[in-house]
Amino acid sequence: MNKIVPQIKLETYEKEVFEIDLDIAKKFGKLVPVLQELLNDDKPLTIKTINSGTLKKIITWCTYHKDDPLPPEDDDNKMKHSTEEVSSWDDKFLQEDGQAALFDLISAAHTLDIDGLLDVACKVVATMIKGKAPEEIRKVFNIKNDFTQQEEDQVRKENDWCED
Amino acid sequence: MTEKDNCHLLPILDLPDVPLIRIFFFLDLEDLVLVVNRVCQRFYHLIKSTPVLWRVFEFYWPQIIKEEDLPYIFRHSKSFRVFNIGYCTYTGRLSVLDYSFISNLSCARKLTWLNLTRTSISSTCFLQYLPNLEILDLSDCHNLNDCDFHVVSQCHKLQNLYLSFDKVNPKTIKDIVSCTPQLETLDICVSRNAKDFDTIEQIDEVSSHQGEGNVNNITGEQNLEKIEEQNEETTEEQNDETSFDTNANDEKMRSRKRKKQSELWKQNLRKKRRQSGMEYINTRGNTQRKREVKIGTKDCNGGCRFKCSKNISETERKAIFKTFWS
Repeated sequence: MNKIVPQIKLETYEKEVFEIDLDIAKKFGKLVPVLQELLNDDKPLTIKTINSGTLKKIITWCTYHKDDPLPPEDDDNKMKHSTEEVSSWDDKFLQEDGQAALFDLISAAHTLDIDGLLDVACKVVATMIKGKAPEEIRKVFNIKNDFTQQEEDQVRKENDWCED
Repeated sequence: MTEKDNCHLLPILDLPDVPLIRIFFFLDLEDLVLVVNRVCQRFYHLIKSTPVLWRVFEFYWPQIIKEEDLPYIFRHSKSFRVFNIGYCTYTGRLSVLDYSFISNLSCARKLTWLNLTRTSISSTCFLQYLPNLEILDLSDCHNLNDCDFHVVSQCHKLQNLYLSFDKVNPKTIKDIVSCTPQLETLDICVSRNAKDFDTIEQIDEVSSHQGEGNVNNITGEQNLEKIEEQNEETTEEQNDETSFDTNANDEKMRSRKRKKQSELWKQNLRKKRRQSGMEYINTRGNTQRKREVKIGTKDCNGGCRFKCSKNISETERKAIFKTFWS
């Protein structure tokens, strides 16, 4: 291993230890406050909610986007919620392992607080939802309809005003 | 951090609320309210209880609003950034509508874009509580009078303002302009009832101008279109390059102003493209793909009694599509 680049160690659910370059670890918002500690510490930090496959993907993503400029922390910018900006690389990368892996990734990105990854992954899921009927969404994501008839009518009534 | 046994299988419902809200955040309110709401209890309650998802209150088509709908519409009024109910039809009592606006929008302090075109509100006093308003559209609000428009002058950050002319006193417009240093566009639709002036069309203004006398200052210094209040028509005629008739009843109107080219307005270009099925960019900046015959999306598997996929052949489908969108 290249010893010049400072690295930190993370242990996954499967007890596999990963060595991550400091540059990439800096993208993990959750780890930023403890980075210095981790650098000095030889014992890996255990994150039991993340499995090896997901962590591998996260590292790949972060390496690919290493040189991206930081997104502006503009509140107005967040208002323009467009799903069009996902690059084709991201889109392919996030979807290639199927839905379960994508949600794993979202969950892990949320746990580690990787804003950029969370953003594109959520956009990809939003695109999957867009333009579908409720029944189709249930089918795609394997969700059970847990409304009673009465509740369904209530929901319909509440949103009567924007019905076609 | 808790250990999860089914770490490898994580359906969407196992996601924590925060990422789920983030996903919803990328969807339009219309999708959320009409579709995602109805998927399951968790989605429904999440959307209902998350104000941030209601920031952009806007729909693609004008809706019919009933009196009992108002509480749902204004449920998260505090977090509104955009509130656009232009051209919506309201069927209830007017007093209730006004009350809802006053009591709810007065708290919407983050509101930057308010579109009430052709709605039946009869009071605008809530505007004084909207300091961050940047775009305001009050055109064709026939229940408003000059006093109501005067309240607009309290929205100091206004950049774009749209009004109907027949109800507005020129002095009110002056007051508004002098109180809104950042005003870039003032579009005053000339209504047929306009008697006091011949034409008023548009003010484009620079933010650096402030204080009183604002309106008149611009003429000399800036090479911009600006307010045209042509009470003395005679002086204007020499400069006149674009004269136009605003209405058909033989009343000739002259103006220094350039003619309104509504067919070149972004809004109308967009509309034209949308209605002819071409690709366009909507108000949020999202590209909407062009309409095309979708293959394999409709196959009456669900037992629909019309059996369209059997009764209508692929060529017929294409023909129908072509006639509809061309």
